[in-house]
Amino acid sequence: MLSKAAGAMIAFSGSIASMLFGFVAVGIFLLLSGRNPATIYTGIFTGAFGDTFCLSETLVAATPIMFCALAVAIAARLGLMNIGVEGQLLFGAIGSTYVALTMPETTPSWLMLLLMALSACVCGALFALIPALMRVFMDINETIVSLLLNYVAALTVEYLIHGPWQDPTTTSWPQTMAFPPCAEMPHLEGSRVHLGLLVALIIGFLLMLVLHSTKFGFKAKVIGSNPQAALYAKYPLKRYLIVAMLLSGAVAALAGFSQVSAIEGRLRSGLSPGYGYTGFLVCFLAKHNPITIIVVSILLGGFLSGADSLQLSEKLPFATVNILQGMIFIFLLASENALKSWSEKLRLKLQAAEAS
Amino acid sequence: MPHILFVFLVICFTVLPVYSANEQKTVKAGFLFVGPINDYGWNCAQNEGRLFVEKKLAGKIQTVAVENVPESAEAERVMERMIAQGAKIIFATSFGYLEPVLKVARRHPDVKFMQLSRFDKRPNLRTYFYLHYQGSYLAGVVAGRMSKKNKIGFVAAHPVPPLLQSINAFALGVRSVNAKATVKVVWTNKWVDPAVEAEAAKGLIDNGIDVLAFDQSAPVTIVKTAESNKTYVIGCYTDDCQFAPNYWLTGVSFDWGPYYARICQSVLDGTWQEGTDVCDIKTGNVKLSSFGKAVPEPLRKEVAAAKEKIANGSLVVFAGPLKDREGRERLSAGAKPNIKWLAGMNFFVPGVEGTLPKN
Amino acid sequence: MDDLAFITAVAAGMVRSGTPVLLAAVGECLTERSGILNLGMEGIMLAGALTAVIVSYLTGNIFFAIIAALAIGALIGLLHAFLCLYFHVNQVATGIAVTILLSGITAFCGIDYVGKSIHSISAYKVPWLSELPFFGSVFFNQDILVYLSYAIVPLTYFLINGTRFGLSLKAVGEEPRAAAAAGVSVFRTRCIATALGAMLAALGGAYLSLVYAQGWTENITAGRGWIAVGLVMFASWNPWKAVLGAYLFGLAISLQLRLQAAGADVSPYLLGMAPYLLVILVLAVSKLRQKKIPAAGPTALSIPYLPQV
Repeated sequence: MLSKAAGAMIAFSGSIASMLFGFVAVGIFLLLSGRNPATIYTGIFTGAFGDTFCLSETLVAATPIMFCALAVAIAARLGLMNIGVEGQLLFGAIGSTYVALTMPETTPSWLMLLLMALSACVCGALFALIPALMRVFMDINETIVSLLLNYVAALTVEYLIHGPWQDPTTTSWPQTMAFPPCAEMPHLEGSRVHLGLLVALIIGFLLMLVLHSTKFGFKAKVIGSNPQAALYAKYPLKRYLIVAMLLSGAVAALAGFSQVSAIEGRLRSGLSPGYGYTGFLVCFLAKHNPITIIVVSILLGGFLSGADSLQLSEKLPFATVNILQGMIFIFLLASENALKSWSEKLRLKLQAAEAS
Repeated sequence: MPHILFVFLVICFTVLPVYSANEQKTVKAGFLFVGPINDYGWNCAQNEGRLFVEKKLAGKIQTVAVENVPESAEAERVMERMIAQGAKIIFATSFGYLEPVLKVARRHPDVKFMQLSRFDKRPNLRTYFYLHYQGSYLAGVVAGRMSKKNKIGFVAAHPVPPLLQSINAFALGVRSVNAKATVKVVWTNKWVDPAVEAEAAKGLIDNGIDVLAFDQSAPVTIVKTAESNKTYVIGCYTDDCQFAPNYWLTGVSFDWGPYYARICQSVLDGTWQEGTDVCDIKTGNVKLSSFGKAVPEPLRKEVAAAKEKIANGSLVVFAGPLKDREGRERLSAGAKPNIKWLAGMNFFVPGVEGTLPKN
Repeated sequence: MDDLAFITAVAAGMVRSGTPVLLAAVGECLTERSGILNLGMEGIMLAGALTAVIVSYLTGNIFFAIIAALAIGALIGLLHAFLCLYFHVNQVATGIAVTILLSGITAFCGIDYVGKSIHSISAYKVPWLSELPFFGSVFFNQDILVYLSYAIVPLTYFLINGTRFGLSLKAVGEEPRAAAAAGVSVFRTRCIATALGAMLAALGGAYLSLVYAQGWTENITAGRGWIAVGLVMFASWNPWKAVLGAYLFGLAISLQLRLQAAGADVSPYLLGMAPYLLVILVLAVSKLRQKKIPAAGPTALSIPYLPQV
């Protein structure tokens, strides 16, 4: 009998091979277009992980993606497709901005940040409550409502920064006043890595614990994978769905909070270049597993920040970042499953050979 | 999926090259663009300025450019990377870059920064403003004369000072020759979304305008929409006469090249200083595009004369006393606008119709 | 401008603004009925838009441009179907990946076509129908692609509900194993449905570039593909309701721009929310009215089909 470990080894090496396959396939494409894939890859990797600056920027880019992907994962656990994390992120930013602009500047920093985080969570959760309530009480699919609300959230930010919250000192530029120093999140010395990363990591591990070793997590899984059984077992379905969406919105809102507090120092347009959607993709790549999400977020953050080198050193247009990203994802997704079934066949064959 | 990390690390450490900034005698200049450089509009004009520098100062200046840089956290990282690659001067070609520029400039006192359209002071920061509005005024003169129905439309992206300057100057130009005409403004809320731009133009045309002006990042759509709806059109950023052979009037375009080359030359000479520059009709950076065949000869002469007067300073577009639409005085009699006043514009002059989001 | 003229102008704008979303949404209806979730509509619209521009520029022929856009759509649809059916990939993830890839490819390949003059499609008045009061100027003073969309919707509806293919389509979307047992090829049916759906999305993209923008711009779709995917759920997988949703969306865009032109004194950002809020509102109201009817999608939607299990 082939040991379980050996089977796992085959599956594991299959996954690695699929990764390599993706890179090789993209490499061939690059070669055909007259570029040296080796220099391009090393450029991206050194740009992402080459030195402490690169590493720190990778983590900075990864943090909001991580929050968003974790938020998607919470909802996905119950079978909800919360594509509205982008909007919830923006409402989180709005919530924390409100606190930062209204509290006196002499507020102690810890209190200020705590209030900002709370306000962000409340705003994000309430924004997520709209699709949640519509889903639970009116049976309206949460995906479309939360998707449409993303556009509403972006326009709300624009409205606020062009209107009531516009900085009166620099007149007419679409941004709020700069936050007072006490509203700035502590950074890792000499870099832009901020407390948000730690919070995201903690949430990731907590989520892992909650989902995998509590009653709540178990029930959530049953509801997500088999709603009929959950109904039969008389689980409080509605309450779970609403709580999950609230939590999801709150976690996404923390991304908005950490961006305005640690990175921007004010509310402005272009706050999120689609972190929510990237997070959505990351969550699905990581198969909703919180720990995997953390890893994938950092890798993707590294890719996105390292890809600067495509434009700076290789003089390629920005479009190549998307081409590379899309090709790698597609090859990854395709080869992962193909190789998995192939390695499964191999395992069965080996098993059969051993038995005979 | 931890194996992904493993693979990344393996690749990182096996092929990690020694990253040495190659020594060179040329000075490196970095350019940040807020959108795609082939938008045939704003960023395209900026990029042409960069290419002009490369050509003019070949062998002395080397440029690096990154497009689609959001005006947020990303901008800071991109500038840091440019500096790590040896860039000595950085051109931030959109207004939203100021905050990240200030942060990076503080960390790198030896690198020079050029910020467009915003006002701030630092020893290694030079700001530059483009008085696009002077061209808009002249275009307004053309529009005011050509309009038969006295209704002129203006499609604009976002209510930010440079656009408000353009719209107001345009309206002043219109009113200077046609006191009855009004300028209707429709905001699209988007720098680039051709379908919405076209629909906004169509909406104005349905409303009865007969001259259309606009300020959007990518101009072709509106120009063609105007042509197919038999409405005169005033261009923006690029000379799009070919897209509206019958209804093109004129347009306002930029020529950044000579200015950027001059700045880069001053870096080479070591004469670069902090301060503020103005790029306008006088310096030749703001230009009026060619006239369409619909514009009669006397009007061309009139516009040329007005252009001359703006260039020699005898005609000031925003001259005091200037009242806004609500009747509040914004500029007292005899006062001339300074850059700070212009950069803070947040009102409409009389003759402009449309909403202005305000607190 | 009197009231009737205003309403007519708004309604005509509604049809124009709604059509690209309509085409993609009807296409997605068809695709999802077969059990394949294609989230790549945004990317496919971009590809269709660019292809139409390139072919129109090179050949000067609108007809070829549309055919080429359809062909590219079919090709990408087949690619997506192939990934879903052969590699059993997660359909949500591939859809997003396809969109990222295509937004990159179109931006890259489109560089030479920005600011190029192409043959675009202009309005064509239908001889007799355009004389009708109100409806004539709203529906029959448009361009050929809009007229084509009038035909596509009933055809798609008929295809789903009135043909043998429609029967197999619904069967593989609901119970693929039972369908396979009854001799229907799940693979082929889903491939055809995905390709057809993607062709319609590409046509929607071509509409944007040939009719609206009359040229190519990066990211010309500006999120319309995502809206289309969303509207399919709104429409509960019924092409007619997808039309309603798309026109509703178009109406809000058209209305907010014309309200501005007419001088409504509201922040353009608040007006800009109208399309999205309106769709949500109508969704809620229509659900309240027919609470009893459950609107679940095809049961096998986005579930990989593994025949051997």
